Amino acid sequence: MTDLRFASHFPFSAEARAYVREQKLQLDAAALADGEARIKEGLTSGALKLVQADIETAQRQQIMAYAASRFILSAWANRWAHRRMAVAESKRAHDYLQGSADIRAGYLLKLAGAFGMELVQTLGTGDSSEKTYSLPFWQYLPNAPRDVHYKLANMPLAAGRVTVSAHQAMRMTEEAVRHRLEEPMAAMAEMPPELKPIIERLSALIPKESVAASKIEQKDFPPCIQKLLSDLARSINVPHLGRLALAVYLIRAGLDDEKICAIYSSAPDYDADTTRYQVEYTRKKAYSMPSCTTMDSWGVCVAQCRCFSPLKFKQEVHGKYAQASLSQTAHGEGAEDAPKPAAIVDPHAEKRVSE
Amino acid sequence: MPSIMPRIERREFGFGGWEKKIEFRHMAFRSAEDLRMALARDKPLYVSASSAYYEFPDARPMPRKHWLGADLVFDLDAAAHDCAPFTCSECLNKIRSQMIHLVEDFLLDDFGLSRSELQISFSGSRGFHVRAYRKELEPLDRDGRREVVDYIEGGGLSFEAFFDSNFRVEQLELRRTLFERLSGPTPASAGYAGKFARKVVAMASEPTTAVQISPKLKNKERAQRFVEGVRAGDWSKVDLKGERAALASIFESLKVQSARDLETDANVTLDTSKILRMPDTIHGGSGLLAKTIPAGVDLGSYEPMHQALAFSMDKMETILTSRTIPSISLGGQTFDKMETGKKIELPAAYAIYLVCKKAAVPV
Repeated sequence: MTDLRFASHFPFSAEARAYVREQKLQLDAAALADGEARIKEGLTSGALKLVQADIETAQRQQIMAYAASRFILSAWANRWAHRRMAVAESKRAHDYLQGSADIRAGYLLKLAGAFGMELVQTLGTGDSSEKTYSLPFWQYLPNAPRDVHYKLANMPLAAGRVTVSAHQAMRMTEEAVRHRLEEPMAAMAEMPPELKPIIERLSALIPKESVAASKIEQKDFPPCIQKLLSDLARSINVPHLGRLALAVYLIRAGLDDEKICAIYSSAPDYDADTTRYQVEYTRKKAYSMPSCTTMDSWGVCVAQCRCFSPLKFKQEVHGKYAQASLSQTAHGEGAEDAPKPAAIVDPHAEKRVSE
Repeated sequence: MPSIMPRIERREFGFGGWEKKIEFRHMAFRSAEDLRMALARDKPLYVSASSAYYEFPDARPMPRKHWLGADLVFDLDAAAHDCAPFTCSECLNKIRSQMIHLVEDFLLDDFGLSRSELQISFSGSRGFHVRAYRKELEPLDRDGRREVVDYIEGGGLSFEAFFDSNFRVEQLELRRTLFERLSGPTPASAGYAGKFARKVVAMASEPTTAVQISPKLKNKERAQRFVEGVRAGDWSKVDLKGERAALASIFESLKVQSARDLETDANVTLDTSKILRMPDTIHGGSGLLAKTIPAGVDLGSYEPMHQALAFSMDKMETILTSRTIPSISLGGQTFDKMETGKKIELPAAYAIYLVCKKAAVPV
């Protein structure tokens, strides 16, 4: 017997799929309309509202709307939409998990288990966030968000098991859901005709390319920064620390807040206000650039350029050539006979580089 | 015959000779027997094997191999010392105690692995290799392996995050008064929490260091009460005022200490495309065996220079020294210092050791 509430809260679960199969449910016009509405909501707001109705028809509708949304996304094959919906769906799952009814029903353990995390309750009895859970470290690592609060060294680890709070367990389950939903879907050989108008309407929601990156002389960026930029441009979810490192770098490289925010706008979980706040905060705090070692431990180092700090990359790699180009620009001269100066140069950053 | 590495057919191999440790790589063998035949035929001075398992171990470039997973491996090498290219017992003792620290405190205690899942072998020269064979660890990606390395080196430790996940402020009511109780780890706790509690207890038990935690602990009885509290996981037996800041600075020193205590070559752990000396094969730069330490053997008493010999101490060989050679102990004997240009008959194991170290030539 299907737990319909579970299946409707977590419509990507095997349980929901089995229900659709058993009931021989079809993606009819109504379901497609629901699916379109779901995608529209997800793409525009970055989140999905929760539906708290334990009525079978409403639950079935939720399941079918999800199934239809995946069908549309698969036909659409738009990377940005695919990733942004993965974020919205995983957040929605997280929000349900936090609900007291879901906690009582043991949905956290069930859902986490379905994603390869065998949580065992270790402490606390109430249904509040006091509970703690443990899981093997090899199940912990792939699902822990890249954040200092999840760094293994800061976690209680004993006999191979990591202890996490209920809040952390839910967050990790969200990560696991997102990873799963971000996986590429099987491409459709031919687009079903009924999807064409839907996709046309949805396409209008894609933000227009406003990235200022084209003005930046990217060739002088170290590989880690290049990777972060290209991940963002391709709507790949960059971890928080990666975004921080990138913002610090771009601020030091002399970009203004508006340009930096524009770069983040293709992130699948983009939220204009949050981004602006974070970028301004980063500038206000005047963070120093993380060293290569720190970048590596944040999981954003991608090459061994042996330059100790991403800011030193230019000097280490381009050597005198870079210094020549920098001194030219430092004097505010045109770049005509200089060997391609960097387009963005911050006098402070220069000093750092040429020291 | 090296028999201990599981799934030979899924690994990439490399052979090396007199000039280079790895002259050929991207080799694959269908079975241990095939590998044995190749070794007998080619007699390489060095044999390296991947920690990774591949669908096609001999394909190239790397992505074509189709990575299936990898063992979790650690490479410990003695730091540079003026005994190089030889290895003095001081260096070996130091690196051996690091290896024991890695195995006992981290891999067995914190990571919960069992001794039977670990293969600990002498590197054949100046260090040790530790391999963890466990199915569940094989899929770990570079980021996951980085977390493991950071854990054992104390990298990325942050007091704020550490405090949040290991301490808990509880509200208690006693005689109608509300108290805040700070509960935290005990010296018996696992991981960094336990290390931290042990360090704090040690400091608080010593009057000169107790005041570093808080001036209040100058009072011996109070310090004693504080220590008893921490031993029971109650960190607020003495209201220290500003204890968080004091604890934070102790934590910082613990961090520095951890990085000093154990320095593995992180790249070997992270980069599973590397190939590493195969256990129980000869190291061409020493003529010693990269011998696996049998499971029952006490790690602290293992003496590779005496127990990891590949050649005989009874058979004699004649060599001509080409540099000054310090006094060295090998195979249960101690050999005197020798000057350059000396022709001498020595036990085969030692003679070969010197030739491999390029400190002598055979005559």
